[in-house]
Amino acid sequence: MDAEKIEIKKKIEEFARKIYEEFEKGNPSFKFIIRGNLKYVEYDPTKDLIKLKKSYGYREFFNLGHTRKFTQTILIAALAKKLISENRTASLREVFYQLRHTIPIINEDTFYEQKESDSVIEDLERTLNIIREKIHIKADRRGYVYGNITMRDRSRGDEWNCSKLGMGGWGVPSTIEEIEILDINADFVLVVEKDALFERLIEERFPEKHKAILISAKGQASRGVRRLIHRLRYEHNLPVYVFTDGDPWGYYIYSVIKRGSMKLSHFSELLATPDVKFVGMTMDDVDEYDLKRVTIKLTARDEKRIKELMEYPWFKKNRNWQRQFNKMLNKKIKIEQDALAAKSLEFVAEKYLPEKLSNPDRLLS
Amino acid sequence: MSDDNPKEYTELYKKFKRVSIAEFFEKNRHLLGFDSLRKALLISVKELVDNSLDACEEARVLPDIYVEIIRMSKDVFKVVVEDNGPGIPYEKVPEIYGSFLFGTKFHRYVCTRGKQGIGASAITLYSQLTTRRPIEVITKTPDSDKAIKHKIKINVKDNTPLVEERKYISWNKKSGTSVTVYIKSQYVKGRQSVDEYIELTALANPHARITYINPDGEMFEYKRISNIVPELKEIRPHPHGIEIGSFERMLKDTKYSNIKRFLMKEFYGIGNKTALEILRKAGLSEDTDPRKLSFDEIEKLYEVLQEAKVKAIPSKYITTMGKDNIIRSLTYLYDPDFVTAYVRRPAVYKGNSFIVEVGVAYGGRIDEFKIIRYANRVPLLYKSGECAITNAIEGINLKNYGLTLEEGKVKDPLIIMVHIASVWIPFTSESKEAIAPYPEIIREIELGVKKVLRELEIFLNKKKSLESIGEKYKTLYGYGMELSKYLGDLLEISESSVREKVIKRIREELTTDIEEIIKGIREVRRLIREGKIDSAKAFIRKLLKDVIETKVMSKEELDALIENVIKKFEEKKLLEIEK
Repeated sequence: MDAEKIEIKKKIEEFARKIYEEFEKGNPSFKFIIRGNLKYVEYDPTKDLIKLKKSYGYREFFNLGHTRKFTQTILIAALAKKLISENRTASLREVFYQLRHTIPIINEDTFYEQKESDSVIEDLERTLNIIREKIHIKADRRGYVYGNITMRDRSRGDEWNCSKLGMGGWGVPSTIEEIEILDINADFVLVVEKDALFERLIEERFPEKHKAILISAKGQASRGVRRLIHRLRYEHNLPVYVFTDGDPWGYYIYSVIKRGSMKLSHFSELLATPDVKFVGMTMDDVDEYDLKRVTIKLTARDEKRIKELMEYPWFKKNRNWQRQFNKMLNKKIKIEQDALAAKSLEFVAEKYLPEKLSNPDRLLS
Repeated sequence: MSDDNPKEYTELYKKFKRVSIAEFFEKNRHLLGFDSLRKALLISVKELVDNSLDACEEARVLPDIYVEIIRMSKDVFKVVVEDNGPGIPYEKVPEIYGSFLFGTKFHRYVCTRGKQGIGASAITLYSQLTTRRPIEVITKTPDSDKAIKHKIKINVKDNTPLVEERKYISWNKKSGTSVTVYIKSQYVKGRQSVDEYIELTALANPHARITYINPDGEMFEYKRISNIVPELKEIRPHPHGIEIGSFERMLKDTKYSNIKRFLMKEFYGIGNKTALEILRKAGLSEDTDPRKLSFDEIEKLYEVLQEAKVKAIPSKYITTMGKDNIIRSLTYLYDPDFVTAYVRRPAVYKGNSFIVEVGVAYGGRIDEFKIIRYANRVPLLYKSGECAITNAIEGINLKNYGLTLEEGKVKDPLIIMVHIASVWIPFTSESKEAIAPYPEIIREIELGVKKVLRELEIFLNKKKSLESIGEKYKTLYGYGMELSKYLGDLLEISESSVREKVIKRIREELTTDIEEIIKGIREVRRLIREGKIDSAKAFIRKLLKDVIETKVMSKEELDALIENVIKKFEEKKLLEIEK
């Protein structure tokens, strides 16, 4: 067992020890960082990151409102320790089934649905200040990477090149801490929102022609994808570009990759990549590439979300982004990245991206 | 709003001047509160009792008041009110009980109850109108050997006393006054009854001992629970509060022959500059003799006076009940499960300072929701719908404070009492039964009531959690056993040793909660006080039956635990204070 694992195991035991001693004398409780939301996060403009304003909450066994969650957290902690000792990793769903049973006397289930155990796992992360992957609990793989990059799984010893796994690329696990990057032959990283576009670009041999590492976020980027982007940028010094739909949801995907999410704001420094740049779709693209006829009308929900985003401090202070949002609101339109297919299937790979990427200084950031 | 409207006052006054006093009174009974037989009884008792309390207060005597109502026939009642006050100067008796004066009896500015009254002579008149019998007054001053007894009627033609009998008698009392009247009226129980008025008067006057026998022969004794006579600070009247009748009497009775001096010396807040300004507007020269003004001049001057800019009367002249007295009184009368009170800081309405005092009492002998209203320590029983106090409370969402409402009605056993004290209170009408709902006053009441309700809410929450205390231990035990296993795994120690610790700690928590039960549930305290320890134990055990069912401990263990806590309470004499 490596030093880090021993350290984490010790941390879990200390957490348990403190509670045990408080049962002897005092008030059994533990402290955790309050989960990030707009109220509890702050924007650090110098680092261009969302950071948690550290505020702490407590769970107390003798507070009837807390008793259940208090107990659940201990259950998860016990399982985490077991996983680390046995060097096994469990999925979120497996954790739920491992711990689910009926508690006698009160006749209640330990967990009624996976949502409940997921949220307690997050509580434990914020109690121990360790991400769940380090306590051997992982989410499903989400997102893919394709390109000339060679990786190795440290614990299994396997090696692979992400351009030789077929058109699907390599599925990114929720933790990449065990993955070593052995070799990269690329000039930049391009993150796209949708799988369809990921496959289009592979079919058009875009990664080979432009020496690109291609990543599909598949919607909001998972922790694993965000960590991979972060490492490619800071460990391997590759510029990173993000390409999403031209709507508030796409822009927020970009924002999370760049500045971190509110929920995981306590891990922003590990997960966020502040100097990524935004390729498109922008509202200006609609005019420049004459795409007006393939735009979609904004829904009320879209408009509400745009107005929310405009108020986020990191967007609020940025005139270029405000201009995009306002344009969206004025014209009442949004545009999908797939809409470029209206020109031709190869248009995105042959014209749009090369044009945009040839002039990185003009990109939004 | 007559107090507010000099015009309306003047109209009334003119009318009053024109007709004979008896005629006026017969036609305008409602103005003085005699609008029904039921109310006539209440008004008479109220007038006499308020006068007694005022007299004692001014003489700095702790009042002993005796009230008895005897049913003489179906609708004729004999009312007797007796006090231990300073007595009345003998030569003044006929004038006080036998001449009808308009406006306040004493043109003095002070938080007395009498200011809200109609004058004792109104009862004399009502008595002679309904039963043709005189009022009987026995009074004794401390420096006289003998008391004097009068039987008095009013000569309605010229508003002078008609003394039917006057004789010295011996009375085994140091001093005091006893008044007897025979009036046509009706006795009822419940809301707006004399019984209620007496109870609420006792509540507002913890320094008084009141004995009351109602027509059914039931005797109520309200003990003295405070030995402090409230202090009345007298102040010259504020020109905005004066009634025109009183104003005329002030003019007639003044020793000053110069109107400017009269204004400056007899009123609060009028200086040289203001006096000159008032006189200029009233068209009077400053050396006019105030005693010789014509009726029109009086009327004009009165109107100008109401408009004059005069600073507010300072709050030190306001007589409040005080937080402690309110709590003590509510506790004495209702033995509630929860009681608290709050006195707001003085506020100002139209140049007059006023203070709002609020009390709440929950449970105990209270069996329904009730709002109790006071103006200068006099209970208000009528016209609650138009009163600022009722309006303010109705504006509060009582549900937010943990109270149960069904169809808009509060279902909790709760009393909210509100007292407005001021040297001048704006009433909605001359009968002085409701306080005018001005926004400044409503606001003050609302803030005061909300404050005490917040405290009540904490109590109610605690009560609720005590009621479900068995459930609490079931939960703690269930989860405690569950986590023991995992905590054992985490620390690589046996599950049973963790369990032992957890159970021990839960038992400690239980000890604290049993203490809370004793502190929080009156019934348990009563049982312990009365030495019924077994019943108290059974009561607590019933609340905690889940503890035994879930095997946190056996019945014997629980009993031993309860016994220990009770013993601790007895040793520390924690329950003594309540006796």
